[in-house]
Amino acid sequence: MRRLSLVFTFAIAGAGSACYVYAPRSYADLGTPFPGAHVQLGGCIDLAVGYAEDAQTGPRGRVVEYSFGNHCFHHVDVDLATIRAVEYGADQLVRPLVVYDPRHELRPLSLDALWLGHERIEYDAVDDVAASAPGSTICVDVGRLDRSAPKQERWVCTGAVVTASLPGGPV
Amino acid sequence: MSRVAWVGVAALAIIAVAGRAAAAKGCHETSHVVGHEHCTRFGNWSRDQPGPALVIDIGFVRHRFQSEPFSLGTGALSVAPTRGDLATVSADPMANRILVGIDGLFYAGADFDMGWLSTVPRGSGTPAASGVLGEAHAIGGVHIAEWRVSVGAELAIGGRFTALAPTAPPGVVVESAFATRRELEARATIDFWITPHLSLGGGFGKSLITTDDTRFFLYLGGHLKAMDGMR
Repeated sequence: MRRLSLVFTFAIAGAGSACYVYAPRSYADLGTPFPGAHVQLGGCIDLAVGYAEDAQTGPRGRVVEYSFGNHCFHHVDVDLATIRAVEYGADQLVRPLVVYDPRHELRPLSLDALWLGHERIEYDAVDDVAASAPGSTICVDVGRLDRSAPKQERWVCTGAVVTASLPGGPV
Repeated sequence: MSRVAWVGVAALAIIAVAGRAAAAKGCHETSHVVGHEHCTRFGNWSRDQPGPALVIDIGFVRHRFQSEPFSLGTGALSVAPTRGDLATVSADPMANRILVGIDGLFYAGADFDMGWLSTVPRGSGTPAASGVLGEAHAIGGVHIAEWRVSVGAELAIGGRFTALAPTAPPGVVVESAFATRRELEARATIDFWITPHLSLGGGFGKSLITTDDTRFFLYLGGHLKAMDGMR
């Protein structure tokens, strides 16, 4: 009887896992919504961009969380290395941010059909002025992230999505 | 459901949860930011992660074939080679296939079938009352997918074992007849992908070495790699 219960448990868990897929346009992982702003890039990827904090990052670091789901029934390439990041300071100046990737891990990777992923990436200010500027806004260009979509500029700024080029242009 | 069926379902369960279980190895992660992670690396969501394209299919097979000549009891009996003497195996047999995908296009593995004969061969003299069939094959094939459907062609080589027993009162030991036969089959398969990790498939097989030997099968498949890496 105990063995039967174990098998039954495995069966339920297995069936559930095998049936688990990313629900197209849901922007959610098992019912938990993707954090941040939702972005449709015109391809297979449903993207959400949020901002996070992490105790391991230094004072210059800003952490951006990317959550993405593939709503197509075939794999697509996701390239998080193409994302550009800038910071708009309260002084109206645009300052570039550089990605923190000491192990050179960022590269294009394939995302399976109806599957999803999450990544948190740190972007660092190149000088201390930007790091300490109050009221600054971080913007990332995710227009080339989805390789199944036409390449375009797509800026996302702290919760708001900017569809055109940013005033002053990215650095 | 039979015990064998439960074991098959459990195997499907294991294959399905294996991917997620592999991530939980007891390492305590202090950060989920790329470059600060200790336990994981960037891209653990990716299909590019190494791992076998393991497939486990469980289902049912109906194998219709010409029985081997047999004798039961004291009389020397044989099966006349007519259609009415074909032995068939149906719903009860459990069919299991264990396969590994290769480069998204090819696959190889084995299948194992075991069950009761639904139709026993007729002969003259002592009639056979029941029989069992066991089969095992090595499989090699190729498959392609479009949208949620994939089609494949495969070759199976192996053998079957048939045992027949006459009618006997309870408690009476009777002598059974056994037969083995080599098998070489060409098969065509079609799968509908319910999810990228779960498929419902079926197929048709025909012997390349004997006539009147065909097989239909249906199975539910669990796939460790999404669509076996085809799409």
